[in-house]
Amino acid sequence: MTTRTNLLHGLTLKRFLTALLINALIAAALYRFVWDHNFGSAMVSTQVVGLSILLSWTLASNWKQTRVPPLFAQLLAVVCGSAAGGVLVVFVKGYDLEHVIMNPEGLINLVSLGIMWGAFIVLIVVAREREARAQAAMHQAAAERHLHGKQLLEARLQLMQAQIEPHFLFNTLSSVQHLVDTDPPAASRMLGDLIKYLRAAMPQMREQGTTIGREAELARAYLAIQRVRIGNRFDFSIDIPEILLERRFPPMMLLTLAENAVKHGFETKSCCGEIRVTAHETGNELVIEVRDNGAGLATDCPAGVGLANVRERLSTLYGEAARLTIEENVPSGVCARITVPNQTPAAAAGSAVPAAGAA
Amino acid sequence: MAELALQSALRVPLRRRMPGSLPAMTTAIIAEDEPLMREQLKRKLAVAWPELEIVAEAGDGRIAIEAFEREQPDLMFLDIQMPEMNGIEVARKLAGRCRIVFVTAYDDFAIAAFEQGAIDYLLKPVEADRLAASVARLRDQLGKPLPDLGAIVERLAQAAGAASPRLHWIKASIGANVRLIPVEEIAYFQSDEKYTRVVTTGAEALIRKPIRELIEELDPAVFWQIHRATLVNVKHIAGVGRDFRGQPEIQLKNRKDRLTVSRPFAHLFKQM
Repeated sequence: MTTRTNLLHGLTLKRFLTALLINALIAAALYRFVWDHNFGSAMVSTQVVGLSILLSWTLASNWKQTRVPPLFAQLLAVVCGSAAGGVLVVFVKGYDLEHVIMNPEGLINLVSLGIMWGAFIVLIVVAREREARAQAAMHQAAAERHLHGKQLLEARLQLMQAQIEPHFLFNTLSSVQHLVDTDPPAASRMLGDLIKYLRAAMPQMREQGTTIGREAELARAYLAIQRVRIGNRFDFSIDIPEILLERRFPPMMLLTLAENAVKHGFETKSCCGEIRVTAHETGNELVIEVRDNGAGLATDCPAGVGLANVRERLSTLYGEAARLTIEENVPSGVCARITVPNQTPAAAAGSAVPAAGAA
Repeated sequence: MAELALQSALRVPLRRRMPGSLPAMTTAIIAEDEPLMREQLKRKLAVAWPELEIVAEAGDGRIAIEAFEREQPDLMFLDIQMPEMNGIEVARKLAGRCRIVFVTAYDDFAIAAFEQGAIDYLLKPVEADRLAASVARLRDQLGKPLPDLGAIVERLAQAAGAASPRLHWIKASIGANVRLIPVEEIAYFQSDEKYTRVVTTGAEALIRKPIRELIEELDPAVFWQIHRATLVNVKHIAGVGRDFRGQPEIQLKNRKDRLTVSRPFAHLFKQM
């Protein structure tokens, strides 16, 4: 039972009607250009041969075997189907068998015509099926990759957010320890900044999302600490328009840019410069920039995992809609820029609108 | 005049040893770029070793060398991460001429190397007990000849990766700006008559540096030459197929273009 239904798989009404139509067209062409006897006779011949081919090919394409390549088997089925169709035509029309054997040209013409057309159509169908299968597989793979990547990334994201550089923590605490003896108000300020930094950087203290304003606070705390530590070698400013403060922004990215500016800009330079953090929006994009006029990046200086992480996370969160660019600043230093799609607060406020409309 | 400027820059008076004064005090220079850390070490040393005289302080490696030449101290306390010239480079220059104590932070790459060698080191933040032990050892060694630190310092320098500089960033003009592209992001380089094309996942740029210079400067484990004119980043290769002549042809991740592998480089992709 199941075998039979399996063997006829793919023989849909649509396919059947299409076959009838093609057979009719061939009959019309034959009547018009080749044979001069009546249209009905041509029609019967092509329908019988065509449907015979259709049946034979359907059976072959559902026949599970491994000895012959599937395409070869299907083409063979076309040949058999066409021949069987030819024989059937002889019986249906009640031709004299002896006469046909003596003058087989007509039958041979009919059968070879069936083979030609049948093969042609089968090839088209097989090619289309193959393409559809490949396309489906590709979509499937892309979807899987996307899902897998997202999960993987989320896991890594958590991990990365948990990473507070121990170097930085120890150095800062050691500075605070010294300031407690020598300059208590400065010690208190530095501790305050450290608390702010830790609060923002601890993963369990973060909500899933964060805003530009909060990320800017984190960067400010970090820069204030570093500025005292390395002896006021740089000044810094953070200039973000009020309207952008509440915009959502991925965590820890701005901090990475600030860390980089300090590290490449001023840790190897004795004096003196500034770091400027700015943000602006351009139509549908949000741009955050950290610009320093420090020592700049030597081309043989390892790029570090921080920036690579930012780049990777941006690409998973936003695809090609976001980017990190690093440029030389004029006259010296580096400008690092993160561009993300602008998600206006309107989207978040959207849920309130229907309620207001109903009232 | 220059010395005056230097003094004011360091905000410390330079005290000279009086010729003919009582048995010469032990002298030391502290080289450390973080002023707070410098101050802290000085205060702690004053407690742990009151007779030690800090004759100069330096905020970077170059000033440290200058101060050494001028003061000829018995001891140098050297921070490792310093501007202009790092502590290891300073130690390289001074090896055999004075005793050196490295002052380093948590997790520094060099600690293992110190422990193997005879070099003394202090961990930041400096703890009183640890400092006292270190001071006792230093005092004990002062009368004895200087150990030969040359070999150890060389090893340290190698551990710090000072050996061969590799290219990690490509500078490419895009419009009026000079873009810095990390080499990890570059899929391939291809020479294009006068210029070299730098191709990343989403962008392209032209640079003047020819392929043969890039080969010298890039990490050969990451960038493979696959053609006279092409260097490919191994990490961007998705697979290797064959073109219609049967030559190996590289497919890239995230890019549609394919790269021909020419015959002399085909062995790179032979099956093992």
